[in-house]
Amino acid sequence: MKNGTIALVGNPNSGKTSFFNALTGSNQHVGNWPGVTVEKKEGKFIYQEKEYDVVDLPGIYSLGAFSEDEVVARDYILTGDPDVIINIIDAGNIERNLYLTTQLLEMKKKLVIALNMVDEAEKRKIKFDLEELSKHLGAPVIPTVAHKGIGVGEIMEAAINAIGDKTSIENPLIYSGVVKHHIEHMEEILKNNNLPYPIEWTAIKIVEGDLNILKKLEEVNVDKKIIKDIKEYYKYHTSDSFELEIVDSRYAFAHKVAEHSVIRPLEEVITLTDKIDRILTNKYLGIPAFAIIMLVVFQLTFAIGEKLLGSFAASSIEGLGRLLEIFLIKIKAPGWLVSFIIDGVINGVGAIIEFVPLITVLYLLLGFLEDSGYMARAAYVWDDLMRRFGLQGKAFISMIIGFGCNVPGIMSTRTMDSKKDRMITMLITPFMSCGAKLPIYSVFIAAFFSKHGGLVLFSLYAFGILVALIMAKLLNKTLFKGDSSYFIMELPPYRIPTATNVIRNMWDNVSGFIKKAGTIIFLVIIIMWMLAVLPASVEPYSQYSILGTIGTFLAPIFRPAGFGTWQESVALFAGIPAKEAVVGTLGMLYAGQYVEEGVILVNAIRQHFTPLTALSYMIMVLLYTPCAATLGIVAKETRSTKWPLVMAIYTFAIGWFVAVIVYQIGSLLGFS
Amino acid sequence: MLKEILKAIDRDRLLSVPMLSKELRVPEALIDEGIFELLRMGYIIKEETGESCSNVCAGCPFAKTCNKEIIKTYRITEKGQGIIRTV
Ligand SMILES: Nc1nc2c(ncn2[C@@H]2O[C@H](COP(=O)(O)OP(=O)(O)OP(=O)(O)O)[C@@H](O)[C@H]2O)c(=O)[nH]1
Ligand SMILES: [Mg+2]
Repeated sequence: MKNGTIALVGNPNSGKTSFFNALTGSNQHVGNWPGVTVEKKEGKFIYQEKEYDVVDLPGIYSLGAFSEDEVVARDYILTGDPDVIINIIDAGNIERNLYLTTQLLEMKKKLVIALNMVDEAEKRKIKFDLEELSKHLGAPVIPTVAHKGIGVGEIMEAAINAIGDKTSIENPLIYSGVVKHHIEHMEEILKNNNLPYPIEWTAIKIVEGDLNILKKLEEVNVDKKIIKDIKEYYKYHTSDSFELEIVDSRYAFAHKVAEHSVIRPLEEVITLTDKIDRILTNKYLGIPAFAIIMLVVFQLTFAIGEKLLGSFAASSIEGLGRLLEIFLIKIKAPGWLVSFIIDGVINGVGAIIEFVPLITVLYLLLGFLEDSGYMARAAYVWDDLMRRFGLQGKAFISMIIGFGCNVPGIMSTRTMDSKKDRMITMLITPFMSCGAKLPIYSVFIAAFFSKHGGLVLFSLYAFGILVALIMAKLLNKTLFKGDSSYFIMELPPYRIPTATNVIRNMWDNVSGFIKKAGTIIFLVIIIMWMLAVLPASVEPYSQYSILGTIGTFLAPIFRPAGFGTWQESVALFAGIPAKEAVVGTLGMLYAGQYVEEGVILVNAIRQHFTPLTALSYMIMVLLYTPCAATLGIVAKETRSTKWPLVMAIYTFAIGWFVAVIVYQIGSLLGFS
Repeated sequence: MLKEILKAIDRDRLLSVPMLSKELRVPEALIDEGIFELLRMGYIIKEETGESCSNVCAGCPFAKTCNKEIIKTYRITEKGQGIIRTV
């Protein structure tokens, strides 16, 4: 015979299934709820020789209609008519769990509260006043440790007692005057009808704006007039905030209960985060703090990635190249093949691979910053500055992303709803020095500025931001006018970065870098190599080759900026398909001539550049035309060919102009 | 409480659970819950940055690196603006 049905209700992961298993042992079967694929678990529990049915409901946070699980749970609670509900609450997360409890109380169901995971809560020094809790909720509260079966017996006893209890249950929630009036009005409309759910609850849900209820009422064929009345009601009250107010009443109730019955230890960590945050998000200190942090990152990158590991990587690749060359000559490989492998693959692509250690270190450090939660602070302080340049802080998010790669940086502008912000941000993102330009700077820094590597690198990045800001201001004044929209940024709590996250981030970047070197860059280098050795009638790598002819034609453009050889000119253009190819092309064209000593490419660069021309070349690289992928995404995002073209030309012009100024002023001041 | 949360994040243009918790004198867990509810009811929406990248250019060697969210941003919807105006 049926002695009663007990339902287990609780948030996901609160321990319902552990509880269910402890109760039912092997007396259980699993199926699906009718009509949906949500798992249905039923079992039997025997107490004093009487059998009770136990149902394990899906884990839910709320009894709205936001998910199938919620609908299943609330339908069952209201129409399946369980005799008592065991509400399982995760003691460590009690406020959130009480929100669901509040909704069960709203349904006027008989409750027994299992305060589960008290072992965990105890470890975190959270204390409970059980009597107070029970008083507020009007239900027995029993601490449990479900997976160990502790307290399960007491809970069942309380539940079975509750089945026999005849006292009626009151909804303890207090709604605001207006809301209450509307609920009563709705009850009036619903009165004397055969409703699938209790009338008061139905009225609350309708006022709350729960459309699922209306659907249910239509399904069970209640009086057509009622449906019409409800629809009419919705027509006039769509803009009211009853939903928010009702949710707020639940929320306030949960808060009140927790306030009276939970004692949490004061968290000292928070005050420390607060102190740190006060500096890092300060209006005046925030930006300098950001600058210092980035400077440290670049210094460390250079010290570890370049000085410590970089030369090791370089000599390994060059050593490998020499062995390969000896081998190829020994097996009498044709001259063109030796040239292709040594000049193209080793000096070209290999020159890029040498930067793997540098990139590894940089992305380890950046990943560390990202995972700690600092980047959100950086964006927050920049927001203020950005506004003064007529941009919104979200532009800085695009710019930060652009430091990794311009393509996702430009794509992230999609979340901007102001067209003006979007266009400006797109147009300035290329000034953010992306990861692909790093190898180029590194070669020049290693050749001329190795003592202050981190500082030079930092200055380049900072200069890129400065140019971006100036351009933003100009564009804002001229091409695009209008208001900036605004947004809300989340400041996540600081946390200690996890090794897995940091390493995964680093690996994704490094493997991407290697993959790119093996595909796109490899392809560009092959094409460059062919152009450099053809036609066969001329000396390979000479100015009479196809590449040499193109380069000789272009070179005069760059002469005012100090770097006017044909090799340096074509290298810049080789960088348009992929920036790393600048280094690859220089490696292929220059390095072949200096095989004698140590780090080949760096020595070659020292022969062909001066510190001043190296600087103007780096500035050109920093600012000039972005890579083809970036131009492609601009075309796609703006659905035009005009904007990518504008971008390609104006960035080139700015790069050239600044490089010329740097070189000319530098020369005047007597630098060489 | 929910209105206060909405008002505070609108005022500061910042969503920080510890700060809200201190300002409104409510435990952080409850602020979490409140934000969760505001999102569910559609008073604020979360914006996706970079998420689409890995779909658009799956062939890119860096596709894996750009679909992570460095920074989470939200926006107050029309519905949310309406509430702010009334309080
Ligand atoms: N420390 C501790 N862990 C528990 C307790 N009760 C359950 N757990 C553990 O918490 C985890 C989740 O428990 P479940 O019983 O699967 O939770 P659930 O409510 O059924 O979860 P969903 O079905 O996903 O909603 C499991 O690893 C359990 O072993 C408890 O009282 N103390
Ligand atoms: Mg379960």
